Amino acid sequence: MENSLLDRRTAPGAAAGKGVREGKRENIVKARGLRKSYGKLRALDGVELNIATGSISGLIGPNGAGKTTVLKALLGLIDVQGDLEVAGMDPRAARHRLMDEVCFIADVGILPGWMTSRQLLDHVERVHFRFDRDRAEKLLATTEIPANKRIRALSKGMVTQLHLSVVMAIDASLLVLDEPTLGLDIMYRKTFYDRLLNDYYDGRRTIIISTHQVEEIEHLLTHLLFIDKGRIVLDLSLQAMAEHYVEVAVDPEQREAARRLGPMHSRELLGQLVCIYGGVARRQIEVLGEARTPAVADLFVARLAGEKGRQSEGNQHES
Amino acid sequence: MKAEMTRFGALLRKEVREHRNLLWITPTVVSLLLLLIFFLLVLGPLQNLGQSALFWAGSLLGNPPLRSAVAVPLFAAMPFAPAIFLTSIIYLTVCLYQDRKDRSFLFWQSMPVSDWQAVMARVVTAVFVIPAVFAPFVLLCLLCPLLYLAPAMADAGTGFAAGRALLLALDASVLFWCFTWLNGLLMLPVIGWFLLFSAYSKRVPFLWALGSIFLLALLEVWLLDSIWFVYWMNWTTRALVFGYGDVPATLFSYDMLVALILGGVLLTGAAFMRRFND
Repeated sequence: MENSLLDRRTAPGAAAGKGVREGKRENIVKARGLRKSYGKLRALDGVELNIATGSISGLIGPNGAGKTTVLKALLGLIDVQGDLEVAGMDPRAARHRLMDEVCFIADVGILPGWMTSRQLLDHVERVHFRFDRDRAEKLLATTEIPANKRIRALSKGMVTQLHLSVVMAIDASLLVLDEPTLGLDIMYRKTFYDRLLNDYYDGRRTIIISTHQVEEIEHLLTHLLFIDKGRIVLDLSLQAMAEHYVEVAVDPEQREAARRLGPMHSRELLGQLVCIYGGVARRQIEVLGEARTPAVADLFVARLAGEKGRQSEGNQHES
Repeated sequence: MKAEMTRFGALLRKEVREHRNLLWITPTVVSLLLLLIFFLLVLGPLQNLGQSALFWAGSLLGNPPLRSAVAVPLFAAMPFAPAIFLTSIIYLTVCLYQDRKDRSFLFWQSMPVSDWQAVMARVVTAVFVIPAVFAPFVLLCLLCPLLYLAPAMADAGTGFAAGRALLLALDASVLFWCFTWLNGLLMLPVIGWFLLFSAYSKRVPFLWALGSIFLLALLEVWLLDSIWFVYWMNWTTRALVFGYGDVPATLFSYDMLVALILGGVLLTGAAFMRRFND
């Protein structure tokens, strides 16, 4: 089971359309020069984005980086400038038609509290013609969610499970998750992602996840998107990340050599120097100490620190 | 087409379920009050209705053709008109605002329903569904007094019987419903106005909507030295005093055309606001 899941994740688009079978990966999301301002605040500053069909992409960035704005733009919930195509449609012109193809979970609190879970299924069944009621019932049967209890009376974890069951019963090609496990305890968070991977993801569907809890989704991802100050600062596959970036715990006698090699980021960890390099041959690094692929969270910090460093250098040059 | 009708039907059902307290409690309270007043009167000061009073009532209800006699129970149904108006206004004020307040807006937006469909479901609820919910209450409030009085009036020799009472109550209820939805269409600009503010306001949408009306009226007086807007608002909200008119003539009048055009513009604004008010 684990192997087949891994195969599905590492071969994005494997079960997708003609282009994929011919070895060419189709992009379900294409964005060029997306811009959005709220007064003087520039939320999106020329976002360029391509998301391949069948991938699981993590949209990662600090607070206020523009993650939710990007996702809202993809869903047609806000108006943005620039070229944008999702599932072959412009979300700004055809949001409701796009929702036949796209599902999203914004966060745990958005289901209508006055409804019971049965009423919710009744409504979605009549409104969404790609919703499979039987599948939703089966998924809910594996949970402890009562059918006749109002949603406002359910726990946060139950509401999330209910929302996920509804979404998983919709035959959509793109699922957008914006901080889906915010405020949930670790049991529910783990169950959420396990169900997503085991019962929903089939290699044909595309998932975009935005979250602060990078460590929890790292093992799911096939693609990384780092966003900062309204711009995509890193866009690469996990495979490319493993090839391009190396983290090394430097041996004490190699500290000077490690610094000379120009790490993109370095830190002290329990008295040991840990450096992250990008675009440096692995064999050059392996002589410095124990080399490994950096964790996404560490790469994120390294990359953003690098960005800030470049910006402050630029500012000094300008002054 | 059938699928779209199913979808729209689901949207209406959702509105009725979501606002069930408002939609059921108001007509229940109004009906109970009216019936209470009637029975307090007939069992209290009017307990000993004189033969002549019963004969007079019977002559109004029993002898003339049904079409003329129906004016009496229709007049008696008048208190329901402002109740429907107020229920609709409260509903329109909260319906779009509530979605944003409880954040369920994002869930509704994740469904393949356009903003225009979502707004139209609210309009149909205000114009047709709310009066339809009131209809059985209106019928009940007309039928109970008529059936109660029918035996006494029959004994007074007026020829008014229970069958006639039932016919009058039904006829009056149907007419009441027709006038109400006709007035609802004439009030489309008011509906659009309140929906616009329901979609726009960050808080207190009712005050925003009402305050803006006063502001516009004041600006008109101040800048143009006229009271056209006040006059128009007074005319368009006549459902409060319940306008009885010729249904086909009103339906195909210029007033209706203006109401539909202005209402359409405001409803388009409400759909736009619902979508882009982030």
